[in-house]
Amino acid sequence: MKKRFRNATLCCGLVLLTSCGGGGGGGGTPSPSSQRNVVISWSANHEAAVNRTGGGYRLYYNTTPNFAIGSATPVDVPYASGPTSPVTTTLTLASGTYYVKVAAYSTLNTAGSVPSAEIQVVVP
Amino acid sequence: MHTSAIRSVALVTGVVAIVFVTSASAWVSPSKSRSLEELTGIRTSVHTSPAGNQVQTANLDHATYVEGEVLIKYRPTLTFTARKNLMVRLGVQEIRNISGLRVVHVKLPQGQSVEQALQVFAQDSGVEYVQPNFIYKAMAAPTDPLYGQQWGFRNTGQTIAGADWPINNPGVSGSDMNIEQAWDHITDCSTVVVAVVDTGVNYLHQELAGNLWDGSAAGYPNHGFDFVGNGLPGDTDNDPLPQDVNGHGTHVAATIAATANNGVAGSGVCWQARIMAVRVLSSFGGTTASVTAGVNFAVTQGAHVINMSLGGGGFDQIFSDAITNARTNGIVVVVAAGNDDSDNDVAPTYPCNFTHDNLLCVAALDQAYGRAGFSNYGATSVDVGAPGTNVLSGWPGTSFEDDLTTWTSTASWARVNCEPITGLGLVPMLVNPTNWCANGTYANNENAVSYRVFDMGDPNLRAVNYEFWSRLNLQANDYIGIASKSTGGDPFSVGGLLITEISNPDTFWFMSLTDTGTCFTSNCSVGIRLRSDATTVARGAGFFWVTVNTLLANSTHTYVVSGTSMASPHTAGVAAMLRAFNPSFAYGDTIDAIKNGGRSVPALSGVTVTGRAVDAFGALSYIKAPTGINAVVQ
Repeated sequence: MKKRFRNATLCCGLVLLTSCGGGGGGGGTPSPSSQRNVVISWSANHEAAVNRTGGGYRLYYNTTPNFAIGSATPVDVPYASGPTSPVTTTLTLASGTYYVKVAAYSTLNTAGSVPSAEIQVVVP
Repeated sequence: MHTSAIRSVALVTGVVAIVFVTSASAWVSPSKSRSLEELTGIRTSVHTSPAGNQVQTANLDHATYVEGEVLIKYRPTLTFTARKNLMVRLGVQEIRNISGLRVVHVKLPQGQSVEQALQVFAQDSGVEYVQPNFIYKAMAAPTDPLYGQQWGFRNTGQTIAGADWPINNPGVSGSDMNIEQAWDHITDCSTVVVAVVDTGVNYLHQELAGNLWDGSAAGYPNHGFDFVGNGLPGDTDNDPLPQDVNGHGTHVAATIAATANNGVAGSGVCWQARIMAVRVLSSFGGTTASVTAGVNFAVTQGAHVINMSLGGGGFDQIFSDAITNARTNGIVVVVAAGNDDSDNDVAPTYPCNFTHDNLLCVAALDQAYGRAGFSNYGATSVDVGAPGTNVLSGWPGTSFEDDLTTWTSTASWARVNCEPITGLGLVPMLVNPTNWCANGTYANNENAVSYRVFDMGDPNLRAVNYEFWSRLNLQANDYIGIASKSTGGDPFSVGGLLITEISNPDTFWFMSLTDTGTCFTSNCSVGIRLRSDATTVARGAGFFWVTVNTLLANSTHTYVVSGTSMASPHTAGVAAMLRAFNPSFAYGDTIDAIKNGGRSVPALSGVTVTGRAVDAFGALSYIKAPTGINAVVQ
């Protein structure tokens, strides 16, 4: 009966990333012909509230290293079903170098965790 | 204003915020929007409909709502017919029209989620805004009669009655563990076993009887084990009778897991839990052997959290190994920092100074969230602070401190006030000889008795513990004795029972005696006697006070006590709460959540590892940064 209201109004779904403009896609002007899928994965958090309705992860990326997550629109990876929230998502990115980090959130902590360590992703 | 009140206001304010933004039909300034989000924790977003109207929806991630229903605020221009058409257009069934607000409560068509409806309905030109039908509930706060005295759970600036720590009573409203907000999410820790490695636990106390570890299958029907013996009938060392004739362990256990909402006393951090009673301390303390045996028992019997409100020793390898064994088994160990007002970094004390990563050492905070004046500290050795002054919690039975003013005495006893005790100044005493303060000496051939009658006729009485605090200086063949008599009068007379008698002491003397039935009457006299021979005398005997603790079946008693011993179980309770709420938590997750979810407290800054006080909701809502990020370009 009860359900958590997920963030329905974010403009950026996974497949929409490159068309959002600014934010997470703010690193240059990607050419559709050079886009590649990039599978981002991470370890599951142990907090129960992250792994149930209303919880999940937000993925942030930018072309600038050590970017502030406030400058990037998050890609929401919400809980869907099963014992844990998804721990992988796919970005469609143009050729270039990107920096990616992930934060977790829950209904108890909608602001979310501090972001993970940043990784570099080079899309050829 | 307390946390729960803030939360309550926040929910209401969230609704107001939505109305405000919409009715104004204007963009909310970023600063205003941020302010509302900060104040309410509610994220709002504004859409522009195809008709160019701004349509407000709310992203209340943390609120629960009724699935299959939404509330629609329709535009003021809509006629009755247009509104009905709107319902048809959206495919919803009207449940109730709240006409004064232009709001209609509707049932969604089968298969449509609230999330989908919010997105779709917001696009309709007849809709001003749409929101979920949120569920409101009463804030969680126990109804127990003494809950209002448990400032660590809810500090309203109340004065604690029966306080034993005079500073900051009352303290500062809001200086508490923020636990009521945590109780909105979890009160039941019954999946978690918390071992109280202490003086035992009165497992017959009404606050604890329903919250005990069930060890019957393992041969421990009394919920634990006793490694020191307590004087109860048939009780010797190493037996499954971990009763508490001291009170300390029961107080600790009830802080962790006193039953809430039972009309008795107060509440614990967890309203349900499984307390394992592990008795390793007598009134005289414990040893490496007893304490490590107790820790090992807790590990072997499946405890998830161990509380040890004890300490004072130097580095102890076997004790260290016991903590390591607990870590190997995933157990969080919570310990007290110590009550010497000293820096543990400079003068290490164990177990606090063990460096195991499954161990949390806790300092005591007072009611204003200052460091309690007695509390040890340590920038590298003491992790966090928690409430530790004037803590009301369960007690095995009655407890009072008799200052010997009403005792019936022979002429050679007198009350004086010239003897200092460190930290307390001059403390009145009952002394023999009467010229004690002038360094007089007692008489030869003395036989001086002082006694009083206690009512020990309660049918629930299981044991009485008398603690005599005194200063003695007697010669050989001169004696100080303690006796009782169940029919009243001089306990050293015929029919009395001489319990103990010692000679030649020269010390501050502490004697703990437990009566398990010899004087369970309403006319029980207990007394002291100075007896001397015909030669050589000395300073004599002076008694400061006698502490009398009873152990009662069905006890509902509480007691107000201060110490880092009280701060530790507040923290252990939160550890249990975290473990219950997050079944996948390893010990490191629990430790991290308590440390990082704590509230910064100036008094702890620079004198503890984190500078933080334990915050129950802060720990519960804390989320670790994800790890193991990896990318694969396809």
